[in-house]
Amino acid sequence: MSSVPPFLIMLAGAAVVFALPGRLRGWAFLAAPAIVLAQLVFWLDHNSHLSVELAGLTLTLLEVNEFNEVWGTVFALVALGGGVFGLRLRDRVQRRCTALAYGGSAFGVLFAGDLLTIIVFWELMAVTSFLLIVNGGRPGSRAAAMRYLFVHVAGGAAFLGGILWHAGETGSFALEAFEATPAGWLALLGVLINAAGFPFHSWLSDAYPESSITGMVFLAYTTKTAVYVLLQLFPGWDVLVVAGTFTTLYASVYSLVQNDVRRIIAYQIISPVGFMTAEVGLGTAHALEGVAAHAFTHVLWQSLMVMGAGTVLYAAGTSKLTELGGLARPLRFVFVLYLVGAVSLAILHLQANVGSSLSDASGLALSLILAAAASVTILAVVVRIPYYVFFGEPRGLTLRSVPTSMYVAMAGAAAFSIAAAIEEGWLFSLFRLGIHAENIGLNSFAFGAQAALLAGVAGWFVLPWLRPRDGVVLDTDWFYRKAGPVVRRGLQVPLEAAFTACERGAAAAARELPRLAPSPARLALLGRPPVGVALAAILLTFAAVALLAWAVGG
Amino acid sequence: MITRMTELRERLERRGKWALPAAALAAAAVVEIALEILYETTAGDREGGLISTPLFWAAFGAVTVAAAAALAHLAVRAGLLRGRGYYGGDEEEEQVEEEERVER
Repeated sequence: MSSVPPFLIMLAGAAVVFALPGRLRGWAFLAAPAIVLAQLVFWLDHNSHLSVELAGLTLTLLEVNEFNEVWGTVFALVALGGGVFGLRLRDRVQRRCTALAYGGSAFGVLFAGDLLTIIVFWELMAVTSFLLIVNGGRPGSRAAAMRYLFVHVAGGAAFLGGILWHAGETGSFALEAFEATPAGWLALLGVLINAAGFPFHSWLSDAYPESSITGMVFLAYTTKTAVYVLLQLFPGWDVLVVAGTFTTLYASVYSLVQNDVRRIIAYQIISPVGFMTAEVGLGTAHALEGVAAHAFTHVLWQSLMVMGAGTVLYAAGTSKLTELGGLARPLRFVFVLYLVGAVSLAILHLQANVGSSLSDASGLALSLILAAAASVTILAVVVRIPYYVFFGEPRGLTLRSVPTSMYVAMAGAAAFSIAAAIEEGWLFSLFRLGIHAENIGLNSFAFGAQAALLAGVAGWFVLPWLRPRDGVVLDTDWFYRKAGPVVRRGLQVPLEAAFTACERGAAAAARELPRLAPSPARLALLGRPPVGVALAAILLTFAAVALLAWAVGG
Repeated sequence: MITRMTELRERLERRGKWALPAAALAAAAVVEIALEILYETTAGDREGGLISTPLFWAAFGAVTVAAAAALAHLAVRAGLLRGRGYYGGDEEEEQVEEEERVER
């Protein structure tokens, strides 16, 4: 097992799930991430390696380092949690298979040892995540998935272009940090699109809420994989500090004006990813370890919050604040478990922002900006969502009963969240991860909780300004969503008209040609001319054509 | 617990306009003091003056939250929020949602 790439296990899992009958699929789904998790904890180490030769190129499919084992472990945990969460849901087979294939392609990127392997799995990840969204079963799934595909094809093309340009200059596809050359900037653009960095972030808040209830749990992979690639290829790029800081602040404030719980959480995914991007930009060993620790814990808490919101959507049939209210009593366990994730996220976000890893390297100004974003996170996920969803005016909704498997998955994630919030080091040693977590512990928890509490109380006082309203909130996706109809009118419609005209012309010609020449079959049936004569005529024609070709060809 | 909290809130609201906010602030102050004691008893070397104290970050967070809420409120009033059919082509989605709502 020490030389089997985790992506193979996940893809094999997808094939097995597809082949099995319906009632076994939910359980079979759990096998692949469980094996990968066991593989990461017990069998893979920094000596694990697998390369293959293909068309003169060496592709490294498995290479383990102290960072990708962190990402891999938490990805396997989330896949396992997502599998348990959706165990009793009557999910479509293609959703389960694409979730495993998507996880497999994310593992492919993480454990790749060269740029070529990364880009192959990067593109596969775009396709499988698109399938996960398009099969979301929500009214807006298809349109959102098409916009998602458009953005990710553009991002993938930029990344591929950057890699090929870089390989042309250096003659190597080795996995090493890029220089600040045009090739490096092009590749960075592609990766930043996947990392949802401003202004390329709006695909996430547009598409993720349109995925299925379980689908959104898995969709953590795209941004976190992009953060891993940023860490490998662009550590210490100053532009990432600026881009990440602005993204985290922008997304935090934007989450306050959203009406859909899953969209609020989507913005709260963008915000910490921006923070991790800023940490990568700092580039110090301390900051990079901070990125790994932050990515690990954030994926756990994010999935818990997404599961909470998904459970509300499953039970109530809607995730809009304007249509929800009074659910604290009927969904009391969901409320408590959701709150564990939200509070943990808020406290970690605050702790990490005021922690020494940032303030040492970049000074007080950056710490203040990022702490501001973290405080707004508290307002959005700890105050606003619980207030309107669980304590708002009851809407008389008829609630569906929530399957036990959903509670089990959320309880597991909540247990890990509490452990991580109080003693993250314990969690890392449990999974044998080699990174250090310095700024977490009881003392740090008290620090973060104290700061979070006052921000929460202030948030409660300003809630009347943040009354939810139904509608569309304009974001940077405005540019391509508004450009879409113009492009359609200017390019697609004339092209379609040209194709239609050609098609009509061909159909008309097919109708008219038989009138010009009588059917040979009919002629043969009438006895004029005999079959032998007709055959001779055909053979003579062939001979004439062959002679002509020979004469011209010389 | 949730029922008791709701009853408490209703009782406070009956006592006057400021009773609930005052009680919330008092409760927060008590918890803040408890957390401060926990922080002090578990703190190692303390350096950095005011900036290293949780109270500074707590006050900063409270001011930030108020500023962000005001900003979000102003953004909505300035026209950031549009009707659901703003991007066009959403009629079908709305119809499906409406059908689902009626079904529920």
